[in-house]
Amino acid sequence: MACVVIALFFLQFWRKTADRLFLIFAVAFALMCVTRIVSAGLGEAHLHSGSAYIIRFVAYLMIVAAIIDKNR
Amino acid sequence: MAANELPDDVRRFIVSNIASVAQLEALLLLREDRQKEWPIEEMSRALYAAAGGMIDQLNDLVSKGLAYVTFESDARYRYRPDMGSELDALLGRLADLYKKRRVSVISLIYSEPVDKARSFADAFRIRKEKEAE
Amino acid sequence: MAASVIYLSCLGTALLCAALLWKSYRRNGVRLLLWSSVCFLGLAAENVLLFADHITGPHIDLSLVRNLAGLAALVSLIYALIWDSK
Repeated sequence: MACVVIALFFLQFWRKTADRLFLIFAVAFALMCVTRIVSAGLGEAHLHSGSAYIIRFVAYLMIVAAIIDKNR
Repeated sequence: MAANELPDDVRRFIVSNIASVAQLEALLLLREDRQKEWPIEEMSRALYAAAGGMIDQLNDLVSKGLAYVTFESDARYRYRPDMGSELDALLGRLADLYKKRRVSVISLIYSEPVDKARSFADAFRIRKEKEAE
Repeated sequence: MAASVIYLSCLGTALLCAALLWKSYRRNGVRLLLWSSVCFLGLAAENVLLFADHITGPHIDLSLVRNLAGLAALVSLIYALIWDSK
């Protein structure tokens, strides 16, 4: 899953730069991966309800949090 | 910081293509006399630079499509004859800026964040202030 | 509906990221930023399609387009991370 690869890159960036933003992005993209797995598992019928989109929401919230954190 | 005065497209060009002041001066020198083909020794003399280092810089320019090299008896370098007009205009402005704002240009050449990770993280800094470099 | 709100706010976030990265790319010329911006645009598209999928109901299936958009987005970022060494 492509998200995981990206998450790993972000983890590497985090280790290199010690910048929290990368850690948060890494977790966010990992969550996006989880979202896709959950959606695939649940099938189309349940795509728009419950766990799939909540996890996605959390992932994007983390990105927003990272941006806010960067700017304080 | 002074580097902020430079226009965006010039900034972009410098960061993406110019590795050193010597390289910039070589490129601008080639542009001054577009038809002329320069052997290495002549260029080095004109720029007061060592020939060995000059070769690397020039070959780098060639690989970026900014200069041409011909191999007759010896390698000669010249400004690219089919240089796009937009790029040529940009180089003209760069030449001008190099005369008038030499310090800004030089500090930009040597202050670029080669670090991809940092540029990525910095992109999310919305409060752009005086860049603390 | 909760799902709509979520998809739209995800869309907004993705667009914001794409815009910030694009602006920074225009300034700096660091190619990773270009492809990251493309990636977030793709993610934004994915959210648009999710939203569309949600409101149009089960008789129209956008899943293929949706998945392609998401995949294209991620692949372009991976490409940039691996190959664009500056």
